[in-house]
Amino acid sequence: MKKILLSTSIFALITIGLVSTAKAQIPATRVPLGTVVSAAVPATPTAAPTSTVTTSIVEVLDLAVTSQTTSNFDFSNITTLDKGITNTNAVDFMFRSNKPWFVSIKADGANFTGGDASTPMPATTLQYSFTGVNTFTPLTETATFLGGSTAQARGAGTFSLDYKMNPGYNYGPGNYSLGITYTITNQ
Amino acid sequence: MKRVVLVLGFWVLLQGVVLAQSSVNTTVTAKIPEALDLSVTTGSSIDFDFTTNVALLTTGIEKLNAVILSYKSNRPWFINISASSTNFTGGDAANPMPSTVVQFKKNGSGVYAPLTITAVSLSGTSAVKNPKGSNTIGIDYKLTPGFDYASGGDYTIGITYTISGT
Repeated sequence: MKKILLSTSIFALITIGLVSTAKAQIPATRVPLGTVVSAAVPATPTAAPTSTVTTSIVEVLDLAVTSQTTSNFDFSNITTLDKGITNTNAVDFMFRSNKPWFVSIKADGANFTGGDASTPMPATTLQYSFTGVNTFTPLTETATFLGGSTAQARGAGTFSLDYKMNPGYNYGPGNYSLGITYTITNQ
Repeated sequence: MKRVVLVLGFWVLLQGVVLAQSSVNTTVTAKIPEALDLSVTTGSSIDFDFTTNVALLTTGIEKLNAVILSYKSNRPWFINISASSTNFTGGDAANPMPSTVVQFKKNGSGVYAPLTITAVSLSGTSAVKNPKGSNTIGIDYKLTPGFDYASGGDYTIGITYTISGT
């Protein structure tokens, strides 16, 4: 008898549960007309998402000779010893710099090597100028800024130098050579 | 913490003063040949006229800087002078006027020497050369014929100047 009562109770509970569940699943379209349906809608969100882009730019300070790593002066025609020789666009350069920059020039020695050792030809016999400017400056062992004390604006580009030599008759016959160093720097 | 800040501060400062640079090199070469050049820039022809004043025949006529030579040499050098012939041409062939009647010296130095067909030093010698370079040299001439040579004629003689580096 107890078993019968227990089974009945469990069945009753299950049945009630099923009924309850069925009621909860009634679709809204079946709500009778005139019924007020209210809902609590949350306020519009005001979030301002952000992201960060980072980049690392290395310092670029580059100078390259793009032509004429050797500039030759041939005075085989004697008259050129009277008036000198000008090599236009003797050296062409390419620069790249993301900082304001300067370029300096200097001779690698006080004198040319070779030729007549009894009267060495000084570096100052060679003069340089920006191409087209035609203002020549004697070359020395002291590094000298090509563009003066004003830094050049960052960027990339090219420039050229003219060289001029007028040894006259002060230096003996022979072959002379001189190294030249150009340095691009940020200060 | 202070140390960390201090170190970081130095690091930031160093970043600001770091010298960045890049260098490239080129070479300049020059080929210079031997140059040894001499030219007469003044006095290619010198005229001594004794017809206006007979006294000049004994006192002579002196012409300072009668000839200006222009030299160019990139080797140590010296210049010699010589007469092109033993005697002047013209005048009395039976009594030719010798080149030694002409005397010369470098302007501003030395004493007069008679001109001969033997090349002698005008400036520098093969043993003691002048330094390389370019410039001019003046030559003074003096002619004293006296009364030994016939009148009524024109006498001419050539003079040779030679520059040498050896």
